[in-house]
Amino acid sequence: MSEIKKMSRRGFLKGVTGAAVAGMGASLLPKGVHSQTRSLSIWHTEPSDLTVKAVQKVCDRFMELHPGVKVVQEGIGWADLGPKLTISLAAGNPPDISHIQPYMFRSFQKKGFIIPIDDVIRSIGVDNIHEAVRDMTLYRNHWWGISHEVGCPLLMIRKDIAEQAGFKVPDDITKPMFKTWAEQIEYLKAVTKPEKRQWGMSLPGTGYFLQEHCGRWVGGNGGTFYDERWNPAFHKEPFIGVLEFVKTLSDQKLIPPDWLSQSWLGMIVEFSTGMTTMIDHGYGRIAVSIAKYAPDKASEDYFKPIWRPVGPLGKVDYTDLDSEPWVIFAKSKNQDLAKEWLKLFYSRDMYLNYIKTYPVHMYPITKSLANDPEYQALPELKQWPSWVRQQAEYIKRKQATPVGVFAPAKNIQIPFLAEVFDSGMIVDEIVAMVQGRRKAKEAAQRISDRANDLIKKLGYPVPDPIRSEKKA
Amino acid sequence: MNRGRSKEAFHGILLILPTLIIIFGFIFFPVGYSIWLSFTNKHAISPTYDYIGFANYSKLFSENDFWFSLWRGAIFAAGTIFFQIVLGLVVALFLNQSFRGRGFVRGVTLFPYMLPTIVVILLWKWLLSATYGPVNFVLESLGIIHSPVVWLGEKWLMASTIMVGVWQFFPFVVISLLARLQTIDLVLYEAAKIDGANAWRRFIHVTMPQLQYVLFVVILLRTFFMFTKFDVPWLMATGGGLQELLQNLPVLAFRRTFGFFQAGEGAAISVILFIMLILLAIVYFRIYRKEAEV
Amino acid sequence: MILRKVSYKFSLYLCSAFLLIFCGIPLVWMLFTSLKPLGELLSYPPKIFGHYTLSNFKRLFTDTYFLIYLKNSVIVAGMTVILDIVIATFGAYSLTRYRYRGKELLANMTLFTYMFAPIMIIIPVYILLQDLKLTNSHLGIILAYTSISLPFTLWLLRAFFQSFPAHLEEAAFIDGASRFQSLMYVVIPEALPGIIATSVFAFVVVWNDYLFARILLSNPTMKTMPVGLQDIFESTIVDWGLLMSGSMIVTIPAIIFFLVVQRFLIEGWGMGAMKG
Repeated sequence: MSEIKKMSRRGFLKGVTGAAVAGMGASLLPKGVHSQTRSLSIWHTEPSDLTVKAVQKVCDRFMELHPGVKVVQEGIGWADLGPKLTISLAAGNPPDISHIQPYMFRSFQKKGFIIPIDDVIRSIGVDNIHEAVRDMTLYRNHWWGISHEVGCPLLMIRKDIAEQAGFKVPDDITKPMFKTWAEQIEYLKAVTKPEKRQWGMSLPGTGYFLQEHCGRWVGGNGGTFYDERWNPAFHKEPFIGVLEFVKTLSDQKLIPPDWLSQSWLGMIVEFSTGMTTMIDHGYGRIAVSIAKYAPDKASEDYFKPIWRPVGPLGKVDYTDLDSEPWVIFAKSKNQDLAKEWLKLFYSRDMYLNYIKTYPVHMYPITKSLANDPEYQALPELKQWPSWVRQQAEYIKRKQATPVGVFAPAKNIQIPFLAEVFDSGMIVDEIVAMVQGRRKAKEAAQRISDRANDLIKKLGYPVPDPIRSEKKA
Repeated sequence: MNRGRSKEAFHGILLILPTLIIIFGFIFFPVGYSIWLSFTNKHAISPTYDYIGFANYSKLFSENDFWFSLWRGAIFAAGTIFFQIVLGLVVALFLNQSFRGRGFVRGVTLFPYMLPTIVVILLWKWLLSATYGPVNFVLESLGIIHSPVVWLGEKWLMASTIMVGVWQFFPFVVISLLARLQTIDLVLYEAAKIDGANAWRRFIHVTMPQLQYVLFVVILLRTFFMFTKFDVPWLMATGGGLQELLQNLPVLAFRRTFGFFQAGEGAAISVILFIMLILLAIVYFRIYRKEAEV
Repeated sequence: MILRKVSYKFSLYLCSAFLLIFCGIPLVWMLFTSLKPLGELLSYPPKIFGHYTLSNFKRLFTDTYFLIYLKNSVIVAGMTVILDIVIATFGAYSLTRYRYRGKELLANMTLFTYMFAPIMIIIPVYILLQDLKLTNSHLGIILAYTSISLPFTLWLLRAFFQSFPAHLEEAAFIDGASRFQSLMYVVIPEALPGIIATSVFAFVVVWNDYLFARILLSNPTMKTMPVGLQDIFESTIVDWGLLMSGSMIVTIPAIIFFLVVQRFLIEGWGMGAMKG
């Protein structure tokens, strides 16, 4: 009896340790031992199931054309994709292809993380891509990325509410309704009725989006984030003007009371449900929200884009290009396959299928698709024609500059945009100002100071960080 | 006993080995890495770095932002810990009594703990919304407030966040304390009753001593958890304008690592937090030992 | 005397009411909202009476991968709980019934692992799993979750085992049982309430987590439910109907798990003298 018991105890313990060791060993087996297949991993910023399916179609077709290759894609919102991409790069294991934000491009390029993809551009047709979009990642005669689509946030207004309040909304979408911010404020005052739960404009409290608003506005106020020597220009008059504009909106209560903790998605819902009458961040995606929450108002009689006004110091208004470029990472072991995948992605049928998932938001980068009758026959385009036309107009007039870069577009060459933008320091100071802890001028100066500190810490000469470029 | 001392020890170690492997692999190695990282100026994605000694630490200690974040984190932690414990204790005592429907009430009480944090935050952000949240509506209808309160605005954001943190996690305290309460020998209560003790004195002299150790560990753990919480403060403000009000050290570390791309700084913040918690734990142990001696 | 009894009962019911409202009303709100059509969801003042529909649930199942996410969460949580309990039981038994050098140190060190913020260790954990080729696998994330839940469960079980009188095991040894048999047939049944409590904790750690799942899993079919819900929420531009119906479904396994577990917490006390 005791023999059996002794054995069972020893046997059990042996079994457990054996299993543990075997398990660890198995998981430690180098992958290459049993997988001869090549693989492609693709990360992008479109988490919507519709779009994921469209990308999957490209992947499936690719796997048909290239047997033995395994393609895996993942769609995550940027708020998560950013950190995840950062971690994977820190671990030395990025995906093969990924979306990045335009303002990160130079940072990645300078560190040698990505490769040029001139041949992909050429195969799609150099003249076939809208210039402003194509040359977003042009540096030293190479193209380093290619945008998956291009959308421009538009200034949108509730036409019915405006007309009820006695204002005329122009039919011509290239004519601004207000010439200046001051006029815009007057309008907002007229339509803000808190007791009826109606506020003038939506503003996002979320750092990324609030900073995006400021970038558009500083361009419209004749200014920039960085001057030609790459010095932070936040302390100059145009940006101070932007801060004062935000402060007016907040002080006069023309924006919902808890705007500071409002996310961009919440802002879209606010606008769709009529809680606010205007939104500066009129993405095409709002069409989805309207269809859900206000299906009876889903037409341009209710939601219409208007051309932007300019600030007191500005002459030309700007919007931004929301268009994440695909890039191929240098660490990828299958760069050739990656390039083939991208070429397949932009082939007419595949690309049309992709754009179809959100046609009002996703304007195609290729002129060939934009002019394609099947694209132009898409029902959403018929439902919201002005939205698409105004975006195309901004792009044509070169008044759409990449997100995070803003005006002038060539600032995309600055290699520290990502760190300053993502740090959220601009939003920090805006909040301090809005809460009355600082005056606009002081807040603006602090942003420039903090930006200079960070730029210095990153190893660039301060002032005039452009000096670091002479070497390359 | 014929078991050799060493054989027995061998079996003992074998049994604890899996624990050691996992904890060493997933906790100690990463922590060592973080500590090492805090002495460098490593950029989050660049592979290059230099050793800069304590420069990260001295920079942090000289920054207003750091001290402000420390302060906000302490308020959040202290507020949530205090209410989690107090509410948890009261509720545990209550659920220890027998009454009809107790099982149902227990189930409902523990429900908040079962929800993923994302759902909790989204739910409460909606309930508390100043533009379409029902909480304001109910409070106004009951006449408790006369105009909508901006629960998620500057004035009330911290209080609202503390409330959400308490709502979600006080069941942890309830479960832990209730499990212990249920094992207190009823004989002890009988003896106290015979001695003429009333409910309050029975609580102080019978319940509390029995509960002491579990309560101590629960307070210790809640302290660790609420000081190192990232998702609750982050999601309540979504990194937006008011994040500063809810910026505790983990949120600051996140922003420094993934926003400013200063991985070394982020690691230094985490190490500072770790040392703070060690000191707190020492203080707790001292207090506990003193109490236990009495 | 009667007054005291009445006021006692009254305060009991008052407390119950408070708990039901404080903890339960948000659940009820979630339920009602998940049953409202989108057009009416955000109406203010909030309406309780109106149209009710199952359309949100239908869309959840047909338009999204929600069921896959739920399945993944259940699998990962279940495996973590099992792995965690097995390892913690062995570990706790070792710490309380054997003697060897460094035992005290180990016992005290376990809880201190919670002094490290998860946000602090995510990068090195990712690197570690990548070296083990376990990123984007359920096994990898189960190991990561086990490492988070293990310290507390180990401590809890150790406390239970410690309070378990040695003489019950002695009786088993006299009867000829081995250590292992004593563990399996005497100690574990006695410690069942503790094991149940630890399984709750381990389950919630997994169920709740967003950060690790987001970073360590890439494949869309591997996603767990918090990550999945967030993606559904964002990608459908804030479809509150989907979010609320998804949240309702998410609470169901948790409630079932808990109701099952709850009965064990109540039973087992009849076992009598467990002194502190």
